[in-house]
Amino acid sequence: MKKIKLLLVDDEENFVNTLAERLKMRDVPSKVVYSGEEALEAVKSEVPDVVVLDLRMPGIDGMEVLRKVRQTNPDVRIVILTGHGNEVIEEEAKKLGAFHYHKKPVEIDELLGTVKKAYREKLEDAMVAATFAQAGAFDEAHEILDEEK
Amino acid sequence: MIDVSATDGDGRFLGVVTAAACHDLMNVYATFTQAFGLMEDCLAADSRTRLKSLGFKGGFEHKERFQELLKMLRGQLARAVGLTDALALAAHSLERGGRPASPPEAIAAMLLLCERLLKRRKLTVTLDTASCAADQSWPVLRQVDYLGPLTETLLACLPHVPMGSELRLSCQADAGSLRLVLGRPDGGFAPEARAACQDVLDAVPGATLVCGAPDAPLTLIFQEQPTSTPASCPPGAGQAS
Repeated sequence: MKKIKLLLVDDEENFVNTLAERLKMRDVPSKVVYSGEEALEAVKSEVPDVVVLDLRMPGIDGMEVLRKVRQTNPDVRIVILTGHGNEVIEEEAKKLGAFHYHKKPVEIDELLGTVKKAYREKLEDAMVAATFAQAGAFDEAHEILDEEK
Repeated sequence: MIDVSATDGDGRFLGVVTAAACHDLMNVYATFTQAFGLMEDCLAADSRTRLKSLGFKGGFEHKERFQELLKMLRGQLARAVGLTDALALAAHSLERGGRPASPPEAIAAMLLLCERLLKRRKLTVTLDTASCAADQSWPVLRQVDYLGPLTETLLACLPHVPMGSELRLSCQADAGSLRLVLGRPDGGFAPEARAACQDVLDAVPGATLVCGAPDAPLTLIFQEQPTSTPASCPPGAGQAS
């Protein structure tokens, strides 16, 4: 299986660096950034498959990053991981297209399970779209990709 | 998020700072969780190294002690997360907007927060949610309007119930009111306890205490306040403190 291009976004440096180290031990390397601004830059320079995103960050917050990334790269799956959440915020994030919403603290296996599921879903959608495109059914292919927007 | 239309200035201030601190504490706990996890990963890696090298490499001498300590730390961390969750819920109890917790959920959180106070007399309070349907609709009340008087009632009872007593609490929605029934399976409440509870409820607008026979439970009734948002009953909200 191809390696997941994973981006971790959190201003809690100790937390996100430790998380990245543990993910690496599980053969899932990741790129780490510490702000919303850096996250948008990172997505521009190399589009990730999955983003694990904190919501409450100084500067551009996670919700804004979610909104912008879903607009520019709708095939990127975004998993919210926040200590500042409630049901209303969760609903808003899901409306904006978040793949899943985790509240901190979360166990690594649970988070990794969500990341892998998000990646699998992305691959499946891409494969289905490619199959339609190969068969000349471009409208259907577009429809599948547009569903993510 | 705290609703700034809440009228109680002091309460609102405490709600805002407590909620903000609780959310930030979750970041601290998340860092602990990952750090403990990394330590466990390292210990597991050491075991694998020892196995692969047939005992020539690895084999951290204090591994078992570390594992025990990590288990203990994880238990304490889970306790801190539970308390902080409950405190965050209490911090949001003044809100009128948003989606407040249902009474069973809010009361379970309050009991967790009061556990230490109840333990002073070795009291156990069991919240019975068996009669609450998952889609139960509740009267429109701010959490603070019933959690505050309920807490005060429990504390007023405290000196007048035998050490080590078990108390049972249940919630019911009835004709625009919330009824909290507080009973003792092994007897009723002494007249002093009833009088103390009456004093508490007398000072709360919209609240009534029904005492009944000497061995009957106490029923605290809170009338609906149409300025708040209703809540639904979450599954598994009941727990003992």
